[in-house]
Amino acid sequence: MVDEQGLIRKAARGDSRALSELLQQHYSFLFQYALKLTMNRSYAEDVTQETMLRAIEKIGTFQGKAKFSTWLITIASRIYVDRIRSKERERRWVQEEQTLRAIRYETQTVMGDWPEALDAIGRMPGDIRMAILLKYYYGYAQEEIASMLDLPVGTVKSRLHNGLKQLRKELGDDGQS
Amino acid sequence: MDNPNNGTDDKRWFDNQIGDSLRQFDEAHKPFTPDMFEFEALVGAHKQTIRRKQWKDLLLLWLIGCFLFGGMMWLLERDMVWFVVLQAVIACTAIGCVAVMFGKKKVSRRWNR
Repeated sequence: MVDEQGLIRKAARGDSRALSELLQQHYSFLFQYALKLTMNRSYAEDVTQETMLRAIEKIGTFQGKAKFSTWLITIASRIYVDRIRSKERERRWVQEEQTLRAIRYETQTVMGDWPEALDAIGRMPGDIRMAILLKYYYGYAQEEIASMLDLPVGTVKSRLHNGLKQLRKELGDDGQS
Repeated sequence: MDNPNNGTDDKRWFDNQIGDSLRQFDEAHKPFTPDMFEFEALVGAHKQTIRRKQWKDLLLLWLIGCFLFGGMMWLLERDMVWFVVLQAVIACTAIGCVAVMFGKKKVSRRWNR
């Protein structure tokens, strides 16, 4: 089996099979990230699809300094940020409130439960949720997140601070901190 | 305020309160991963679309280039003064564009890490 770096080198040189293999290996990871980010299945599918297309376009410029999964997360996050800035997103806001209910129902069917923690995460503004997930769930450093999202470190710090404060409050733990 | 232990405490709190729920959420929503040939088809089709678009852009560039060159030659033949004025305006615009692009480059997004 060829290692990831080998596949990246081949893919960057134009090997379609190597790129397909990389995308297949990371498909599940990418979709799960997009789903946690959007809390909306069809929206997550869109972000996943667009991320893969963008990766096909840009693979020639990828130097392999970061892991392939990190690169995909960076692309997906930026696509998501662009979308929440766009007018289209605003128009779909009401619809998305309904789809949060849909993902809650779907999760309850599979897990038999919809933990309060997921509700708190789902209610957060998208940009704050993204910073929180990248830092505390995926384990990236603040500087890495800032570089991934093309933001000043101070902005990332403030989003993390506000996000955690909101989570602690919603989960009834605002006494600590 | 910038206590280094805060980060560790926050991480521990997050793991205890939310981490498990998110891991269960991931498990519950594991997607069906399509077969390899579907990814190959996607990559092949998109590369072809990109290639077609690049050829179109190149053709458009050549057409615009030919049109501009023809126009300049025509102007040079008709009126030397206007030709020089137009060349000066184009040079200034180009310098302005390069300056703006160079300024933007500092904050432009990087996709190549």
